[in-house]
Amino acid sequence: MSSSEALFIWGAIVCYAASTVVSLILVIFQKDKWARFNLWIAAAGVAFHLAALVYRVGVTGHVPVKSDYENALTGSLFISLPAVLIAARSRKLLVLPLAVMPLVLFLLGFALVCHEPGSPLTPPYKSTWLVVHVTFAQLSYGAYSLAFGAGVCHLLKERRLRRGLDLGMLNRLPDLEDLDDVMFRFVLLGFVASALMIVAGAFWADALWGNYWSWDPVETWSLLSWIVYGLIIHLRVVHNWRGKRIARLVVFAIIFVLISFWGVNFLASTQHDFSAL
Amino acid sequence: MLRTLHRKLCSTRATLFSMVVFSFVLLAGLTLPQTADLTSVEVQTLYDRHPTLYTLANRLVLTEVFRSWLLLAVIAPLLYNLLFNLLRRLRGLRTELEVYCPPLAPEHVIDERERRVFTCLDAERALLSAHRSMERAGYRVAEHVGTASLRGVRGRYAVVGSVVFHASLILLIIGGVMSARYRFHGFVILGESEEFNGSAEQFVGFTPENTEEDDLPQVAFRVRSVEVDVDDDDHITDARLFIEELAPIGHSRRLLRVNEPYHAADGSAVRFSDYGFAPLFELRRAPDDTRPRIGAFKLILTPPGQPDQFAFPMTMSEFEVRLFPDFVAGEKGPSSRSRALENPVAFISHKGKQARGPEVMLPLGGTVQVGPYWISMPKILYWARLEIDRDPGKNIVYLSLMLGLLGLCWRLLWQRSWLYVTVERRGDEAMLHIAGSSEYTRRPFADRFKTLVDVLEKEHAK
Repeated sequence: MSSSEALFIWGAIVCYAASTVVSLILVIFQKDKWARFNLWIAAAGVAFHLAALVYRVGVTGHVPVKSDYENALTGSLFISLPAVLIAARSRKLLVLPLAVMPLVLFLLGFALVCHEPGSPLTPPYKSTWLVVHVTFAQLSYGAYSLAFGAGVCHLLKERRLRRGLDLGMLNRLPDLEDLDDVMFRFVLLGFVASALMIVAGAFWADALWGNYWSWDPVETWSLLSWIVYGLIIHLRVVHNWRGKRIARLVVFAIIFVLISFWGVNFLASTQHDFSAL
Repeated sequence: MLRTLHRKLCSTRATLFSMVVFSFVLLAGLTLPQTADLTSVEVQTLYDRHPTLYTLANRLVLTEVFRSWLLLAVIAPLLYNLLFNLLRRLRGLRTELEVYCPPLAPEHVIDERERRVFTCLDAERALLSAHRSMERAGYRVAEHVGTASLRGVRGRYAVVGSVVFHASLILLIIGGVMSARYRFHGFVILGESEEFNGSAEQFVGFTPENTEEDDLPQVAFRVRSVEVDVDDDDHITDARLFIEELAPIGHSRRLLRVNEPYHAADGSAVRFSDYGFAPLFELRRAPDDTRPRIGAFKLILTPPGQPDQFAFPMTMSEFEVRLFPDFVAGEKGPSSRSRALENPVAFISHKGKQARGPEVMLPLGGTVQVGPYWISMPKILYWARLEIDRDPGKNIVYLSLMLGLLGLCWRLLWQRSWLYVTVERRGDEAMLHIAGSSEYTRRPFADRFKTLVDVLEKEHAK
């Protein structure tokens, strides 16, 4: 890893870790004044993260999706960037980054472990569809992760409220209705983005492998997670499921996203392994 | 009884149930080993290890999920459900596009913050004012005849998106089934200057395997050359294939870039999908042999240094070769700096009847002794892989994907919201009830509701 790349990635990790610690202090000790400061730390982390990504694009000349390292780097940015933007926009959701930062740190840690030097794409893989496919894939995974974060917050708060216990630090979280609303909005965003990802992937697969659908494990896991989120949307819209029930489903559904994004390479051999290109 | 069955199959519960069953079938296909992905030896090993389980899974076609009747059996009720729900939706579409408001029930108000009651000075004026405010906010308003009440709906065309999306799913299933049933896909690997005449023997492989000769795509061409561009770091940046189309439209020259197909007159798409090296070897029985055997061997395994095998016709000998296009002699053995043809070197060994002979280094233009033969490598050509594809379902699938995306975005990014204003008289006083709800999420509607009601309350509250 070059010194610039290491600087950017470690800068992002340090800022995100600091933001997580400050968020915990903010929530536990109710230090309201630290909220803005915390947001700036997280924003600095995003800036470093973005710089690492741009640097990688500069070195390789393509969107960073070729290896596990590049996927983790891009995927984690699509979680941290919206989380920080939302926290900056809404005071009520200032603690949202806290719910997703552990996942971001985990992904960046994984990226460091499996770092590979960058190289350009070979001609068969050079396609605009790659950019469209990957951008929407990362956007959908990011949106689903944020929905998961909101779902966890909802369940934690609802449980305490139902049992009549003191909310303590959970008092900092938004109202249950707002959490429910935010969670479902991210589900909708993720659903549309993953539909776009699947469609762009079909076009690209046709150009690359001569077939728009080949029941490859990554394709099938993505379809499966899309159907699971489709079920959630149907239950909400048609059967009016709200609150705890939907939150439980959203938290459960992240398993499918994690497998299709990250776990599938460990479970089966797939055409989506671009590391040998 | 049939009518009851039809009704049950068309219910929303049946939709959800079908989706769950479909998910489980996909999950089975993902978690159980699929025969299509395994070699016959692996299948046998699997059977030896779990004879009962494997036999049971095999009988239930769970080892062949994605190419079996099971998938169709799961999709069929889903298709039925989609089709009849769509027809029902189309019949009611006109009503829905008018002022369609579901009757106000407690569960329609998502949040009690979107329910406001206040006593007003003049009920008639308040109602009129509410009517105007709702229209200004983009609501289509209807007065309920006989009672002093208003209903308003915003974003009523969102329902068209739903119709488009579900229609696209039906098209997608039809197109997918057509592709699975009627698609022809084959590929050929041709070296530079080789010809393809469209016959079955020239295909390296095609599906379905039982395609008759008459049903093969009517295409014929000659590969003229492959050109590869290399940047300063010897990374390959572009590859072009020049072909001469021989049939069905006569001789015409074409330039194909990687993955950019051209469509032949019979509707088949021909696509240049990959390329590799085809070193030209000359084999002599003695150094002064004036009649060498010549052959260009397509090394299909593209990563540099992968061992591949070749044999000359009319000889009993086989050779193993590793080709390094940009040779570097490292401490760990030979390697290639890049995939560009900068410094090509082949390592060849003779495979005798008993054992493999030692590996001999052969640079471009050189001659070496390999086993009992003398082999030289005067030239390295390229080979090109060409995919020939004819899929009558593909365009239907693509149309459905486009429609599906359009419908989905339309449906989910524009949401409907409803407002209800009712006057309730209690003696001399009139109470104005305002309530509403939105379809998916509360936030944008909540802001609109607050603005609207605040104005009404300010103007008309007692």
